[in-house]
Amino acid sequence: MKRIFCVAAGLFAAALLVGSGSAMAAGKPDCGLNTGKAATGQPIPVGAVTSMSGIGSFKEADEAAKAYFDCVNANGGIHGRPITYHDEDDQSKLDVAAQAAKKLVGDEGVYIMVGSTSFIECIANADYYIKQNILEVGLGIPSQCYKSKNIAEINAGPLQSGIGGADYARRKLHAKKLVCWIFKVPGADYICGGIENWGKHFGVNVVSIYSDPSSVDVQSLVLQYAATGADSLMVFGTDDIGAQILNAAQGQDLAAKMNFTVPTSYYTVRLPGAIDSKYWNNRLWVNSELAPMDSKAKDNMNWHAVMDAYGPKVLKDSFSQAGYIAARIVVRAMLTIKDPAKINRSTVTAAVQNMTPYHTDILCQPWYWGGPGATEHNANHVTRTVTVQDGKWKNLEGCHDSDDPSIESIRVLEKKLGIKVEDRAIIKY
Amino acid sequence: MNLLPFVASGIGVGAVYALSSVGLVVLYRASGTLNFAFGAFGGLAAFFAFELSRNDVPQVIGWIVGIAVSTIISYGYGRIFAPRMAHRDRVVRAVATLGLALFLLGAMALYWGVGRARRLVLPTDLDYVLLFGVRVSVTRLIALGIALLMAGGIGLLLSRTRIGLAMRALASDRNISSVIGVRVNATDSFAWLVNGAFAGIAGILLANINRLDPGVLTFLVIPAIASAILARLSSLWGAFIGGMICGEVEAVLTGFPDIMLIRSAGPYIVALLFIMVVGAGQGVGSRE
Repeated sequence: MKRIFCVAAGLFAAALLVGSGSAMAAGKPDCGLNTGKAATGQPIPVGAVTSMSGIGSFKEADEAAKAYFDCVNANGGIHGRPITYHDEDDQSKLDVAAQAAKKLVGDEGVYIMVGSTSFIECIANADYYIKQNILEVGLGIPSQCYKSKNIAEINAGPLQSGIGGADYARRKLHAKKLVCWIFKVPGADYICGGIENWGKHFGVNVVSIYSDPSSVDVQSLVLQYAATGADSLMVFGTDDIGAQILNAAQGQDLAAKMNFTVPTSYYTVRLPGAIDSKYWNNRLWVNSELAPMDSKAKDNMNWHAVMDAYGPKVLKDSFSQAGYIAARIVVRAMLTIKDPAKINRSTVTAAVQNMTPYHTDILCQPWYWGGPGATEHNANHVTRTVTVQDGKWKNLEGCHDSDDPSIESIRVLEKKLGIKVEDRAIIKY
Repeated sequence: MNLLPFVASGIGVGAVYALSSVGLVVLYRASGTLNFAFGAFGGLAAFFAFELSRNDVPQVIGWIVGIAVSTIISYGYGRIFAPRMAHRDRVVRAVATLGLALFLLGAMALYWGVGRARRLVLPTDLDYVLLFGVRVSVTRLIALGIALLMAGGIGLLLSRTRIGLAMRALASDRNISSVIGVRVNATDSFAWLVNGAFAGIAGILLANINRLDPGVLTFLVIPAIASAILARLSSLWGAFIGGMICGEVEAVLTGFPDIMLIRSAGPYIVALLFIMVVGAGQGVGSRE
């Protein structure tokens, strides 16, 4: 079971880029109204249900959201009203996640959920949020996080990240036959099945391999990859399981025969040190859902500034980056409610649903909700590619849309909203 | 599908299972305790070796310290706690070691964390022998050699030495052994000491072959128990063969797409079938 959750974490395409605390110079934070005066009005309750224990912890997303809210509160709040942030640990358990949501939404009366980052929270609460007319802007793994009327995520999700990696293999590495490997966990069919559909559309023969998450024998798994005769791979999993597979693949010199593409969950500071970087030099293609942390662009620099000022002890990783964006988007939407007395769940819901697209250099295209009628959300589906070079991460390709046919309805909406790819990150290639 | 590559692949995991299984049987024979903390002892050894190596301590010293840590902890438990439960039911003694396993798992998870990409490198990782078209690393062959050596060595110890005689006496009847002058506690403690050393070696090897993770290493004990059951928890060579069978079954099932999703259950299914077919009285190598 433990491994299952570890795998789920691996599928957590929202894992995105995990980096060490950066020493980038950051200026004065830009938060909300920027008045420099503390908000003292009636608090606005905001909630989050996040996996903080049990199997893994994504608390950095909540901590970053809280840091941004603190910064907003110190700068006039939402027209004078401060935000109080209530986050709950779902312990990676469905029942706990459901109880936590009921406590926050029912008892605490939060107006909106922001920064929730969980393995299972969407499964437990998607329907409940619809019934309660409350929205959630966070990070998610399961398909319910992307197919719900009331949930919209900052991250692209495992399917889009996997397709991003597979598409890189098709375009740049001339993949004709690709193995989609994943542990057999809930949602695995949705992910590799989605990549199979993508393959049919683009002439790539995708062979899915689902394997037993309880087995410790990874070498046999690697032999199974080789036995398919495929030229490329998309290997899902967390960076720790990934390192194990990559080391076993190295043992069989498999990178000489197959192109290894992996989702964004591999893009961590730890991975280059956990594999033989010499062997994998320019041989591992990793999808990335957010801008690299060393981007010098405005919003990314503001994230650094906010964290330095209001969350100096919080690990600056991709969860933190995405939590910050989630909070910033919601604050921007709430500020459109000009009368502070009228800020409540209903008006906040309407404000977020009707918000104009949010342009940020951390994402490859503006983030949007899509109006009150939107029944699915996947605003982030344009991703980047990085590789391991000389033991470090190297940016390979900027924003690129994989043209996944399964999100055609999303594209239609984006066309209507005028959403276009815009690579605003300032990074070195 | 050609299954021979998977047979070659099963050698490494089978050897680790075999080594673990032999360690479990040694302790069980002497003290009647099925040690669920075996994997956790091994995990500690692997993490200490890893910690020292990342602090630029020579690898050999890391391995020695790691194995020493698992040995000392195992011995300490055998010396302090095990005697106090010596007259309790075997299930109680086994459950007590499960508690220890969970405690150590928690401690490792707390200090080193879970789900983190890291690896324990051994100098023999990149050297290999080609078998059925598969590169079998020298590390895996060493694991096999150590398992063989340990099974043989402990067999000799039991048959040729005084402490071995005492261990065999305890295995036959604890009370009578005590009456005839066998130093029960000292013999028990020795068995725990051997168990800890086996666990340390198995843990370091598994961390290298598989993954350096508290959970993975702690639960190594589960398939090892299936292997030991094949030997009816009595025969050392049976435990060795049982471990190899379990490793091979798990690997070879990869070649059967319809059932590979449950390949980790292979060792237990084999153990169950074995008990049903052969019966409760005999196991692999039980004539030893």
